Amino acid sequence: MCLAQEDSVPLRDELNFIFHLGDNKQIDDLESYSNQILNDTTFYSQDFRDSVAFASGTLFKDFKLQLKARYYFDLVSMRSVFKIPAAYTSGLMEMDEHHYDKAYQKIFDAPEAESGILYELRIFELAGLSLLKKDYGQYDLLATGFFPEDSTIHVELKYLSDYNYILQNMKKKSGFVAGALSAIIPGLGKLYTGLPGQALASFLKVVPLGIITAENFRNGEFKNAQFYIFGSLFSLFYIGGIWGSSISAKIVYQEKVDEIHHNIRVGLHVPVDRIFH
Amino acid sequence: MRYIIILGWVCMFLLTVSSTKAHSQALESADSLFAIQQYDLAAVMYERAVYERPNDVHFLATTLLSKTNCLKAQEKFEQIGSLLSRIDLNKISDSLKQEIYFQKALGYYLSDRFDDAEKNILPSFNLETFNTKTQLNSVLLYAFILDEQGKWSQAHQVMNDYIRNQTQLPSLEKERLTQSLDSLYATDQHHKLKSIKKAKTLSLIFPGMGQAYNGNYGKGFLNFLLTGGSATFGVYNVLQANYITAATAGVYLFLYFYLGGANQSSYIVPTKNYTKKRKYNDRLKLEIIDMSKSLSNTSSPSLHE
Repeated sequence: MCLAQEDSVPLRDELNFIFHLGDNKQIDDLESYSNQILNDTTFYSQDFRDSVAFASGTLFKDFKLQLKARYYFDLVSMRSVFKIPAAYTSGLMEMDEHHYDKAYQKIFDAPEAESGILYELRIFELAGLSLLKKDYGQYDLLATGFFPEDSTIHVELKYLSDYNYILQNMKKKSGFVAGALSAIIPGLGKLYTGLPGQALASFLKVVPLGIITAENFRNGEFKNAQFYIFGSLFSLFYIGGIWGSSISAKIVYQEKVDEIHHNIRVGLHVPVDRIFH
Repeated sequence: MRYIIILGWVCMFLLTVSSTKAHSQALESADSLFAIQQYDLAAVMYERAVYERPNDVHFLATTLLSKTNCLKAQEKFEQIGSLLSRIDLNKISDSLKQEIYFQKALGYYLSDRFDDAEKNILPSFNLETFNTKTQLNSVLLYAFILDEQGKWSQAHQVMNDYIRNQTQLPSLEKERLTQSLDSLYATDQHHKLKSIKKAKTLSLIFPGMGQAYNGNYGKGFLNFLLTGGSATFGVYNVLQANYITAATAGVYLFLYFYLGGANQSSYIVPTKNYTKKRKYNDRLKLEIIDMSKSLSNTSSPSLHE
C-alpha cells in the first residue's frame, strides 16, 4: 500500500510530515511511514529515499533509539550527500556500544574526501578507533605526520596522542604477586592491586573462619564435625581470596584502560558533532 | 494593483481547497484503514490528516480521539495520555473536553498508572455541560480507578451518589442497586489485607509467626526451624567451650535467620495482598459493569470491552 496519494504531492511535504511525526514523538508512526516510503522504490527516487532514511535516522537518534537510528543511517546509499554524516554518526553509535571493528569499517567505507575538514575528520576518527581497537601500529601510521588545520581536531588529536602514550606505557600489576601476597596474609594481594576496601573485606572473612576452625580443632581435633565444616569454609574463602587477588590485578588494569577508552570515545564525538550539526 | 489582490485571493482560495481536500482524503483513508484493521497505517493517516490541517484545534481533538482507537486496538495504552496531551483544552468545547479527559484516564488506567488516571478523570466532573451519555462511563472508570488504589469506601460512595442522582430511575430499582452495591463493597474482603508491620512484629516475637499470619505456613515452619537450629548451634558451642565459634558463627547464623525471617514479610505480604486485591477488584469490575447495564439503556462500549 502506498501512503502517498498522488504524484502531485510535493516530496518536501512528505519530509515535513516525517518531521511533524518526530516533533510530536509519534515514534511508531514515524517508523511505519518511513518504512512505507523506503520500500516503495517505484514511486520514490533513490535521492528522496536517502533523505527520508537520513531524516529518520536523525530523529531516532534524538529519541535515543540507537538500534533504529543505525538501521536508517545505514540505508543511506553511497552516492547520497548524506552518506558521510550518516556513516560517521552510525559508526560512532557502533563505537559507543564497543563494536570498534564495525565502527572503523563504517567510517572507512564512507566516501573519501581528498582534502579539507572532511579529510582531517576521517583520519582523526580512524586513528581514534585504531587506539580503541588496540591497533597501535595503525594509529602510528595514521597520526604520524598528521597536522590538522581544524582547531577542534587539532586539540582532540593532542589528547589522542597522550592517551596513546599512556596506553602503551601502562604497567599491569602482577597477578602472581597479588595471589602470593594473599596467600601470606589474606587481603594483602587486593591491597597491592589498589583495592583497600576489598582487602579489608577479604581479611575479615577469612581470618575469623580460620580462628573458628582452629578453635574447633583444639576442642576435639579430627573427631569434631564442626572442624570439617568450618575448615571447608575457611579453605574455600582462603583459596577464593588468592584467586580473587590474582584476577583483580587484571581487572584493575582493565578498569584503567576502560576509563581511557571512555575519554577517547567522548573525544571522537566532539568534531563529528561540531561539523555535522 | 487590483489584479495582484485578485490573484492573491485566487491563490488563497486554491490553497484552502487543496488543503481541505488533503485532510479529508487522509481522514477517509484513515477510517477505511481502521475498518480493515490496519491500525498502524490508520494511525499514520490520522496524523497525516492533523498535519494537513494545522491550527484547527477542534479537528485536532476529534482526529486524535479517533487515533486513540488505533492505539487501543494495538494495546498501546501507555501512548494515549501523551497523544491527547497535544490538544489545547482551553480552545475546545466542554463535551469534547470530557471525552478527552475520559480517554486519557482510560489510557492511564489500562497502563496501570492509576494516580495519573485519577488526575485526568476528576476534572471531567467539574465541567458545566457534563455529557450524560458518557457520564456513566466516567463514573464507572473513576470507581474502578479508586478500587485499584484500594480506596474501596470512596468508590462505593461515588457509585452510590451516582445512583441516588438518577432521577429517571424508579425508586425500587435504585434501592435494589444500592443494596447490591452495599453487599458488594461490604464483603469485607478488602479489610482482610495483611499488614506488613504486623507480620514483621509477629516474626520478631516468634520466628515464623509473621509468615504463618500471612498464610505461608510452610515458609513459617522453615523459618522457625532455621532460627531455632542456629540458636541451638550457638548454645551447643557455648557448652562445648567453643566460645569464638558461638560468638561469631552462632550469632551470625542466628541473626541472619531471625532478622531475615522478619524482613521476609516486606515482600511476601505485598505479594499476597496484590493477589487478593486483584481477585476482589476483578470481581467488583464484572459485577458493577453488570449492574451498570440496568443504569443505562445505552451501553458503555469502552469499558464493557
